[in-house]
Amino acid sequence: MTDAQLIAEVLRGDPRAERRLYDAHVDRIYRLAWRMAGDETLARDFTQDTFIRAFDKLGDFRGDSSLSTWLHSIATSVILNGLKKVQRIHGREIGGDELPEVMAPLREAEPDLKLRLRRAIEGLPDGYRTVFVMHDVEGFTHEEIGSALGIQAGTSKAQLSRARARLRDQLSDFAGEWAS
Amino acid sequence: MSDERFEDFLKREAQAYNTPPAEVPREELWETIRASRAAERDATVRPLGGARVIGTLPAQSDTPKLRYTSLIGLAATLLLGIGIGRYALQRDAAVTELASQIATAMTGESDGLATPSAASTQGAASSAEAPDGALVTLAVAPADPVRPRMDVPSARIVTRVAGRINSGTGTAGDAGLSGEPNAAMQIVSRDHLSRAEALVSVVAASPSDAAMDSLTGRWARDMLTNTRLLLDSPAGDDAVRRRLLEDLETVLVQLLQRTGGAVDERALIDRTLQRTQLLSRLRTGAAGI
Repeated sequence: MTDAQLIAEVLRGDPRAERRLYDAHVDRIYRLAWRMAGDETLARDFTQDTFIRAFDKLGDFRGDSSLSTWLHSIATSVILNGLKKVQRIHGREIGGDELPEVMAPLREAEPDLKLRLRRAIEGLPDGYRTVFVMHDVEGFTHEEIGSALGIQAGTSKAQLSRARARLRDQLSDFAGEWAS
Repeated sequence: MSDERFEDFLKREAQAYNTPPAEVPREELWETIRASRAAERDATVRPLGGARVIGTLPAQSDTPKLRYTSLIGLAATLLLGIGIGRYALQRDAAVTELASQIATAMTGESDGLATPSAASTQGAASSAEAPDGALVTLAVAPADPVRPRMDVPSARIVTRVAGRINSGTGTAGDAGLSGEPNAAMQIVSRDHLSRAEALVSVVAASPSDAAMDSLTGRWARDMLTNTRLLLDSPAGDDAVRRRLLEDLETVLVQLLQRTGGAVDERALIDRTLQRTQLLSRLRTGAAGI
């Protein structure tokens, strides 16, 4: 079933079509929300809000981009606006003892380096961090990122480059880790 | 150190950044989304049949007008009944007060009262001079005996009028004055209980995990408003009917507070229905009015 057919069925009020649309995209959106928020409750809220808004606005979807891209543009908007509100209230400082458990990477980095890397990513401006997480962590293409964030693919590349440069600068003490 | 090596390092190590759980809580997320969608649909007027959806009505503009149109109609009917009832009660009270004033006057002026003439009993005004010289003017209209206009009360006429009111043996006009509001209230009450019975039957027959649709939601809201109006009206004076309306109100509130198709909330409604025997009481209540 194509995106257009699925959308038409959703707009006709078919609840099974709504569920199919949800099932097709929820995993990726939830993962992105988790990566950006680092908090289960926020990730859930952002994911739910994304789909609620998407269903509300589905009639406005013109098919200029893929449904996935359109959904991710809503998701990034929801996530970034949501995080701004959270930051306004609590700030974005996360202490070392609050760090969630992480999966073991293929090549174990020095614990101190992992902590520094995490803090360096957290310290990036929102725009850089979003592009970095979407591209280097979640594997989105620059075209997808550009469509989701409403920027040019070239702008996405530039922001990623600046994000990496900042991280490299922040982690210069650990140059041996990636040079070896 | 090359940029490529650093990028490889970043991509590898950044995988540990805010690692999401392996399992996405799909069902839990979907339940919330579905409930929210259902709540939004409740507030949206949807086209009938296969009509093409061209948009939803803005939540803050047209929808309330449409939603409240039927509500206003029902409320107006109910208020009309209440108004008639209160008007009749005021008239009864006025007559009683008049009778009291006359009785008081009678005790002090019994010696000076005039016997109404034949003309006065036919509805014509007449004046007569009492034995002590006091002028008594009577304007008695037998067709409307509860509204005698008197400058000085006549004990006999008042007794006759008060007797009719108290004994209920008055004319057709008398019976109509006290009967109209009760009849209106009974019609409104019976109609309300019949509608409530239909709604509760629909709810009781629906699957336990079914979310309430928009029409049922609107129906329940209307019923809740009218139930409260009836409770505050003379219809709520009857103890049995009041208990019935209060139980109905409880179920309606539970129904409206239910989000989505939550099974535990539905179980609460079922328990209330079972405990209060609401459906059977609504049936007998509507039939008994």
